[in-house]
Amino acid sequence: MTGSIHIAVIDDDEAVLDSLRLYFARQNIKTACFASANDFLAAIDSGQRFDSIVSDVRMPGMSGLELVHGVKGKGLAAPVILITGHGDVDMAVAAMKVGAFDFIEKPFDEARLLASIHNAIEQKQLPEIDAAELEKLQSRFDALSARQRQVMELAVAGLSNKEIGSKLKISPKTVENHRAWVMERIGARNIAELVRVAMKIQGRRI
Amino acid sequence: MTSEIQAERLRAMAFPRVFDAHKMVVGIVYLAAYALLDWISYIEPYAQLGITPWNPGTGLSFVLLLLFGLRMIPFLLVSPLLADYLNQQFAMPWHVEILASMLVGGGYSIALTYLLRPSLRFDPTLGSMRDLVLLMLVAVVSAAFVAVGYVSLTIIAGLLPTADFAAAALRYWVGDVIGITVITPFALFALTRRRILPMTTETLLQFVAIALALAVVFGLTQEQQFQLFYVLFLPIIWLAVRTGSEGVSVGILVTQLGLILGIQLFPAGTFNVTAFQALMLVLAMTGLVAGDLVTERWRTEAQLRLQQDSLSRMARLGSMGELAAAVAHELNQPLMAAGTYTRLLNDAMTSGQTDVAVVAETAKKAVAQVERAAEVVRHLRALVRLDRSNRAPCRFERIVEETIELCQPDLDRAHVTVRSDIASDFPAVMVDLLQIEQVLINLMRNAIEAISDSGSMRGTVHIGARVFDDEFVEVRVVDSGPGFPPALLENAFLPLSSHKAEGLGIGLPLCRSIVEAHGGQLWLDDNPKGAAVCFTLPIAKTERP
Repeated sequence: MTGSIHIAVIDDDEAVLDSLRLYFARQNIKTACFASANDFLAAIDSGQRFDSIVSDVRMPGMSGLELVHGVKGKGLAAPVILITGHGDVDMAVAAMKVGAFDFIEKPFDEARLLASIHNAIEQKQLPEIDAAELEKLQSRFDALSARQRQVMELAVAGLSNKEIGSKLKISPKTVENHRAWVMERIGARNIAELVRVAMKIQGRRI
Repeated sequence: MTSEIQAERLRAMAFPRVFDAHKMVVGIVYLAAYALLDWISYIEPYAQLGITPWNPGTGLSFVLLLLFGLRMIPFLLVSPLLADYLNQQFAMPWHVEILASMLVGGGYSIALTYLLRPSLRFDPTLGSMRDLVLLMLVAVVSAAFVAVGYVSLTIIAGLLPTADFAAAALRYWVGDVIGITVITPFALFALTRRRILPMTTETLLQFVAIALALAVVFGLTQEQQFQLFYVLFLPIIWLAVRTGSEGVSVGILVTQLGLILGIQLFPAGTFNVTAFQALMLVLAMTGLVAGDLVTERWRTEAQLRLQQDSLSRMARLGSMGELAAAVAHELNQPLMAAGTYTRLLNDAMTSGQTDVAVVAETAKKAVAQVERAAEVVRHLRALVRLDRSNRAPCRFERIVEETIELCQPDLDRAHVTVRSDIASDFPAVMVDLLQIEQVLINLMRNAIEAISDSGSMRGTVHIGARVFDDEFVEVRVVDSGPGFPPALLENAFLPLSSHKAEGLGIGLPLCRSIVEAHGGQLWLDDNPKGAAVCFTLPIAKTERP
């Protein structure tokens, strides 16, 4: 697969773009860098195609959330991976709900981004999650206590431990414990995966 | 929550009293003052029975019970007897005197016991219009009962003809109500607020106006007196509008004294004294209500201003969450880039792929990003450091006065008095007025909370200021509360280390930041009694041409 991957990287920060470009070059991934979501959308119109799109959430002009809408609007199937800063988790969660593939909190290890890109490309080729898998997730979710489900719902909505604590009137430390338990039970390695699981379970309920 | 319930219980259990000086001392002072007032006001008695046009002693009795509690009732029962003995060597047979004294003292004691019932939540400092109206209602009703009782007693004892009942009772009633109206609010304000009137040119003019109005009332012919009485409303309303309830209470007292003096200077019998006093009663009540309205408006304005200030300050700092997100974004970008560059370097070195030029280039880029992050931090510090543009030379007395004014409702509620001693030649300080007021308000509120949380029914805050050296003054705020807990003395300035059940504990660190931004220092002082906070402020340099 490597060698044939072509991704778009969108970030308004020159240094970030440059470092990512160097990094991906070393991984034999071809990159096209864009300083804004608008530049990127214009490039798509001129016929460029990408296997995956990596974009910052917070940018002048157009946010990551709007970018996801734009990509969908153009009928593009390329999975979007968002890079978020502190306090942008709720925006990233919203973006996932409209179809972003993943989000990664800054600062991060490039290996995590790379793994996500590979995941995204593989998933695109895989059929939708099967019924048995969904059943398993559902039973894991059902095994959680009421409090753990509350914590999960709020975490998935993008709230920090402190915010969840004040909402549920428990200490952030307790929230952290519940959260770790939930992640382990659900089998999610990070918040983005938890959001994905929650979305699937929710989608099933509707 | 629990502390609120405890405080409520404490309030209900304790004798309703504001001051706790020694009972006997207070009682004796009261008896002496009562006798003196009775002697002063003993003019134009009705049938030599001590039914005089105004009875300031009754007002004093109200003050005694309202401030020192129901334990003072025994003194109320004997004061009329003692005064009658000292001033008139008993105008009535002794058993009638004793009965009358019990009736007057007992009647008002019952009324005041009712007024001080915790469920009525009457505030003896007359903090609101409601308190003033409650006081006046109780005065008007109880004086009616006492007047009827007293006059009935003298008629039964055969000292007054039955035909005189209505006239005598009316006179007694008006006399007592005016005594209460003139003396009680004045004394309550003076004793609990410890401030009466600022001595300014305007105050002087106001009292000149009262004197002129009195001269007009007494100087012109008799037929016109009652119409001209209304001239006296002018200076009273002037006082009410400009000085609020405290100033007007002084004006009313002075007017009343002037009226009494006028009546005595002019031949007896030429005036209908009771009618005069009825007019005076209307004047006094109008003035008090007007004054109270003005004071309440000031308080509302002060509260509003305070809230607006804190709102604008909040806005200036931005909601912390947004600020944090912005800062995180600013720091994340260079951190991310630097991390990627260094990991690339690591990869290059370990894989042995060492093109020196490329490695050097990448390392340089990483360093540039680290420097960029450092620059963000420097900017952040400058942002958080408080804005200097509002600094100007300020009179420190003004800061203290405004702060006390802003905290007055809280102070009155907790029965805390403030004493400030600042030398008149104290130099001006170079500060942002609002910020330093914020520091003082914060310290005052801490003091008030500490005093009322300790269960004390009263307390004092002392604000002292002295010149520290050529460049700084030192301000010291000391309260009569229990003092700082030893643990707090060590880490009071760690944010969120509050020992209070509520609040963020951000007060003291914020005060210190403000003071330090002014180049001063703030520290907690070891004080044997109560908490002491000291801080220094820069002296405004007088510009030399």
